Amino acid sequence: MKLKYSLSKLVLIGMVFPAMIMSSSCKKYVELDAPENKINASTAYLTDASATAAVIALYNYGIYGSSVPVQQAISFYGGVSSDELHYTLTTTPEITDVENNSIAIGSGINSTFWQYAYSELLATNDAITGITNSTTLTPSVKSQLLGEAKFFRAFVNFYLVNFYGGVPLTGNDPLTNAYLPRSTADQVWASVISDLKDAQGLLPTAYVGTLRARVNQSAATALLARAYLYRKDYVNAEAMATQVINSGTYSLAPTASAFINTSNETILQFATYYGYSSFAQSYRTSTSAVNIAPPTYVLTSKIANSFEAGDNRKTNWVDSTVSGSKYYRINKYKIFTAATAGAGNEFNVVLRLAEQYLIRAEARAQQGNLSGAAADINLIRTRAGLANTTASTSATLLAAIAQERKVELFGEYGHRWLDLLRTGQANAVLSAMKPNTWNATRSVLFPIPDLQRQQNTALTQNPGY
Amino acid sequence: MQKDTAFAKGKFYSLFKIFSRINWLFVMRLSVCCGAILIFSFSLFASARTNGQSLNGTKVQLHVHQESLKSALQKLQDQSGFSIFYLSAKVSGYTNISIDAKPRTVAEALQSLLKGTDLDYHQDGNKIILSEKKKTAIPAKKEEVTAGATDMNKRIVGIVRDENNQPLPGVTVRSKQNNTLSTATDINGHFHLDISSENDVFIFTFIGYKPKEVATNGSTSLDIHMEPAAGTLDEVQVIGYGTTTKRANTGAVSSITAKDIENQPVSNPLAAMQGKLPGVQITQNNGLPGSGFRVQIRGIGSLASGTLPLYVVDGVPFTLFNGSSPASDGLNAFGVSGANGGEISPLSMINPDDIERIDVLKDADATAIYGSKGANGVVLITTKKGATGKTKYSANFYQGVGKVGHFIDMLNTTDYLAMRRAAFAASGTTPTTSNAPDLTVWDPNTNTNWQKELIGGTAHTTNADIAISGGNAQNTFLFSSNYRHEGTVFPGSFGANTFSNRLNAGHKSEDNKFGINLNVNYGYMQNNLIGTDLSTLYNLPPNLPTYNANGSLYWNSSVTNPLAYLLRPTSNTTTNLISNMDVYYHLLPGLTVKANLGYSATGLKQTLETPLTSLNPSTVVLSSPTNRLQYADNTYSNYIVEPQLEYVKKILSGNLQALIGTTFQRTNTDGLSLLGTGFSSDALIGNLNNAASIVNYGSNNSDYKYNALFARLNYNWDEKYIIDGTFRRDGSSRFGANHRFGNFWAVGAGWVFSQESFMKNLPWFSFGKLRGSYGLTGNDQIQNYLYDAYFNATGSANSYQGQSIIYPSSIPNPNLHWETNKKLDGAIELGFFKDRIYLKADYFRNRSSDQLVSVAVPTQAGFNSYTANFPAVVQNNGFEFELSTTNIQSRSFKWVTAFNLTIQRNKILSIDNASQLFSSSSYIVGQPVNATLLYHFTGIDPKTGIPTYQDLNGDGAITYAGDRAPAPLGHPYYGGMTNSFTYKNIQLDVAFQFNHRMGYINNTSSYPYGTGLTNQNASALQRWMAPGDNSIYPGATTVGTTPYYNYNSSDANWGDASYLKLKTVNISYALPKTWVRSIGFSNLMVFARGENLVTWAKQKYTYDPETTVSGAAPGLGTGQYIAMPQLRTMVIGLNCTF
Repeated sequence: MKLKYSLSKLVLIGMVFPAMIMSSSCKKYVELDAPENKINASTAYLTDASATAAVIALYNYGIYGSSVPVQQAISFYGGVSSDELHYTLTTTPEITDVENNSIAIGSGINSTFWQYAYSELLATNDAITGITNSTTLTPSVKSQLLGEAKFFRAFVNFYLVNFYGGVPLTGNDPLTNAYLPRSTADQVWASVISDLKDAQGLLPTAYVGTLRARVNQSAATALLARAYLYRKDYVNAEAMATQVINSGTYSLAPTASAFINTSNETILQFATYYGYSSFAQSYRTSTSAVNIAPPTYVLTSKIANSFEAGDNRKTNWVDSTVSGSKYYRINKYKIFTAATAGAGNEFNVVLRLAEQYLIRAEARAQQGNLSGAAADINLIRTRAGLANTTASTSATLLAAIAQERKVELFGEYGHRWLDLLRTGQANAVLSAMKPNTWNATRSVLFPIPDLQRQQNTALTQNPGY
Repeated sequence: MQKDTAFAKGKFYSLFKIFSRINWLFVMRLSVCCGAILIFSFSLFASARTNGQSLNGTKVQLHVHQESLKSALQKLQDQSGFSIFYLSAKVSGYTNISIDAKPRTVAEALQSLLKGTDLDYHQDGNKIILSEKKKTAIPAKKEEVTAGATDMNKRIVGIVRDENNQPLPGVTVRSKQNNTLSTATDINGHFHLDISSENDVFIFTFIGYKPKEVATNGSTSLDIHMEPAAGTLDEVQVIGYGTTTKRANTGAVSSITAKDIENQPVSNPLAAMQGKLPGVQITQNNGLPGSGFRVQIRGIGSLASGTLPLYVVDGVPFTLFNGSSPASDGLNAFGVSGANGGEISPLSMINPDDIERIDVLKDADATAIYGSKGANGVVLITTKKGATGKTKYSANFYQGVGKVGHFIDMLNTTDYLAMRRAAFAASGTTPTTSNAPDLTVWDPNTNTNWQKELIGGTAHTTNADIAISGGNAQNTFLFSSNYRHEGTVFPGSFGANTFSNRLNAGHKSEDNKFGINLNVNYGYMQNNLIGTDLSTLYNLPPNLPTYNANGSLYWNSSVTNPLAYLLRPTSNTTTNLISNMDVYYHLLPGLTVKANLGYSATGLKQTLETPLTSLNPSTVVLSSPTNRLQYADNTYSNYIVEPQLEYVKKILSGNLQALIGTTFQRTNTDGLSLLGTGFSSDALIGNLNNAASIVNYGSNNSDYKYNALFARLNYNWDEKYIIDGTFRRDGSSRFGANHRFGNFWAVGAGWVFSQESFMKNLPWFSFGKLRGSYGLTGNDQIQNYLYDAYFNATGSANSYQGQSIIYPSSIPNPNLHWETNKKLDGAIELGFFKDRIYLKADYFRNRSSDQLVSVAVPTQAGFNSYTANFPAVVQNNGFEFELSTTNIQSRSFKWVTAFNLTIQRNKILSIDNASQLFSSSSYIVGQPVNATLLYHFTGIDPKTGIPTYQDLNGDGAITYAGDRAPAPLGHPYYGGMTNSFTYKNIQLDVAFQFNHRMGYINNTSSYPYGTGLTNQNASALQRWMAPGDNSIYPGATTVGTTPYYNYNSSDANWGDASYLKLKTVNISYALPKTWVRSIGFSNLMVFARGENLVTWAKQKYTYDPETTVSGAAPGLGTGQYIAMPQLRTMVIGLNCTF
């Protein structure tokens, strides 16, 4: 009997009381802390470590649709839009449309490009707001991270305004961003320049981390120089380029090794995990010198044939392969794949010194400093193993600069396409090359994705679509 | 207490004595039974010995000097091997007992001991029962009996027999006046109860028999004959947090029992349910060991969220949904994937032979008590429990073979090469060594049937179970153990070995007030497969060489050598613990407090090796080897605590049952996925530690917490009018702070009109019930954490220069809540001719709203969508029929048929602001959720061989957006039929399964014919070949244009995808009882069983018209995708009990 009595007591105590206690705290019971692989957004910018983790996500890989696809879209779609690259496959007809400068408004790849860019911008804006408002970060870290975030906002907006014209300038609240109208191109450019100036002020001259894979002041200055050039602000373009050139940090490297990740020419590169460039797999199909099949993107014969005789850039940066037909493979990055982390020695070079010389040359030529322009061109030509330029007038110098840019910067971040656009050459060059598909009004800008216009009726379409 | 220990000791004593005895019987038994059961044979000697024991034949030598009667009886018991039963109170008064130590028979010893007491004895099998000497019979006065009275001074004894006059063990005997007074019959059908009133009424219940009420009328011994229940109306049916009977149930519940499961040689309980239950559609992703299952109960209720049912194993939720998308309850939804697909079914860790019954709850009345988890239906799995009575030893063993039942008819080399040449000719290109090695390099005279080579083998299956169960009125136990080997049809020795152990123990206090029941099941499965399902390689070129002349593997840049896949092994180690404990205590008459405490832990460790030898040497860089080991380790752990209070009271002429309880549940998921690369040798590839580089591919951590309060009120008026109400308020950590808790409810009612007096005089009409229910349930199958703003961390593969990164995970939605599912059900249940014909027909209509979907936002937001409740309504409605008939029942022959049919429609009733849906084009109002849009095929252009389509929107072009129309569905229905024939000792069960629907009928062809190094099925022989041909199949070409590619998405490829399967056949023969007994068994049965024996289908170009790959739309059971089919398996085995 005693046993039974205590048993019943035990049951009561063991089951009913905990239940009552737990019932009274039901609401609390179903509240969760963040799991081990997430942190609550409100705490992301509280410490140096987590704020840094949020900012370096902007560089690479992390976010689905972050900088890697953006970089690829810029380089590949810009390349095929111009006379620079050829898409060798037929599996994605939409890329052929880009090559034909006839992008459908419903184009999926165009839509994806747009989406990737804004995905990166949201993370950027979130970081800018979060870091600005954070009071717990070490000042030097705060300054570095804010500078990097502003650089990235400028970087993405720079390409958006070039590919699409005026685009919405978004902030850090997704649902507010969603329905913003397009800003004017001038407003976007103003934002790019203002962000880069801010970044210049915030960033240190020295690189954080190893191998010039984080944005420093020179990187901001270099991109700013380009932005001024595009805006035809030649005084500032020259000044900024000079600032980079005179920093004493950079020097032109031999073409054979200009793209390795220890190259002294590099101003900014985005590190890759395995140490091979994320462009490599589209520009080549193996590490070896022989291609089994044509790579996804090859240099057009037009560009390949426009190298002067003896140009070691053609020797070192282009190789042709035969597989049924002749293909010109872009050979700037040599490594196709690597099995282990850091096994390769190539990253993605974003900004390099050669471009700064060409920016300064152009800015000088435009301002009438012809000898200065020629001197800058000749530095590039000398490195390529070529004799000094024979151009001596402003017009011939500008033409020489355009030629050098074509053979120097091919395959990198859509330079050729943007150059053709900003210099007004696109119509002349491409209508001749693609007479059936080029449209002077429509082809100079990518269309705003139609689905986006359906979802956000405030978005206007570009002319001709 | 005394009675128990005495009983137990007696038994163990005799068992112990037997240990030393080995005789021919033992050897013989050993040869009959499989070795695994050897150890349990000892019990036979126990029973063999005691059976022949008599009080006068057994001698003892007792020495008792001035001891209590109790201790003397103990000695007698220890020596004699008999169990002695008595009431302590009656014995304790006698002390100072002495007898001398001379040898006596047990009878003599008893007489000596009881001399001078007013106790008498009688023998009952191997028990001796002491009782008070009969006094002169005095007519008993009618006493008022108070419930729970402890003044038990009368004893009632009796025997219960079945229809053949054989004793019936395990029958529950309960006093009608005092619920706590109950017992069960022993192996000899005997029972005894101490009672306070001689005028009680006792209720005898036993599964499969009609309950019987017997009034004692002063008698102290009863001889009860139970009648078998013709139907199963009074069978216990398990429902949420309780039980009921088919007769009294107000909800829609369909069940299968151990009897149905045991007949099938299946390794997963879900497979045993296929085709057996109306409203329940089940397909297996593929036929490889462990592969996942997809179960849909009454259709798809959700546009985009999970449609997984809630599995509950003995009270422990076992739907291991970890928030993956698409929702899956598979074990490797995150990690490495083997040939058996993206997931391993956790239920494959539960031995089908351990299952007592599976009850599927379908309507609101049955599911609303599961609140926000009940919308997709609930599958309650109840495992076997120890039963009172003689300890039963059983062993079951079978072994058999399985083969692919149907191969796809593919072109031979001659026809294949002709097609390829035609393709090159049509597109005006020249075959070269790089684009056509099949035409230019490979031997045109070899003809390999890849299906025969790669999946033409024989899979071996072995299954062995042993179980021991038994117990007495207070304690029951069951041990079971299972070993299973399942092979594959792949070349080489791949397959799965499963081992599981289960323990069930139950205890009831002597006064029946307290009870506890514990289940522990541990399963281990080692599944060794390869990374690729070889059945998908059916369309390799038939002249593809596999070896070079020097014996090394042949490599080509376009086609991976199929033999290389065999060199890439996967290992999947699954462990699964499910434990639960039920405790109850009868606090007051009618009031019970109880609790269900459960814990489950499931782990899966997977590896996939890719050694250098399996890679094309031309892509291998020896300086940085690309051999790799993928490794994933996932664990799920889950606890549940459910305290409950139950109250039963008779009010007027009805029974009121009330239940209130609360649930606390928490589920943790932890997963890690790693990739090791750069092993210096393939020999070292098994250990991640040997990798030059280890990359963390990410982790999968989630935590889910759930809390609920639930209640049920059931009133049963005279077994005639029954109403049932359920309520649940629950809160889930998946939902936003603004909507974390919700209320769910249902009402159900039943009217057993056959109980009405006006129906009672129809002799052919035995049962009639109308029932209906309406209520609200919810669906919570979305990812965790969507309501709040988080940053995700990524693994090292996504780090930047060795530093980890974090990024915003999603747009938070604090208003997130469950999908609301309103369920309506109306049914009629009819029984004729003493329930020999039983028909159940349900009409159901489920409407789910507040659809959890991805709402599209302009991508300039930074995300393209966020999860929200969307104003769209999905309806599932239809009819379910369940018919069981006993066609013939004679002394030696019985024929029983069970048939079920479901006619079901799924339809999107409305979508507001459809354009905001992320996948808006996928959903069409008025069409099923998984509607398929197809081009309308108008024939092959006889001039060009190019397919043509109708320009539905008349815009002059055939476009994806404008020219596709919903595919016709026909009149879908599905079901199954089982016929069971019993002739004397022979039983034959034949089960069919059918599914009628429209679907893709030729999806294994990859269009256009002749493109690439791909063989085609035999339909390519009928292709357009020359101008003027009128064919329905396009011409061959190497450069396909859009019309070619659209062909497969046109109604040219749509037709009757129905099938009928001879699902299982079971033939068993129970050896004659007399002979079986003579060698010491109580049952010995041999059987042959087959599964997936024959399939009739018009859909020829697929292995199995039923296979559905996980996550693949549309619908279940379409055979649209190629995967290893469920094998045609045949086994033989034997089953013995003693």
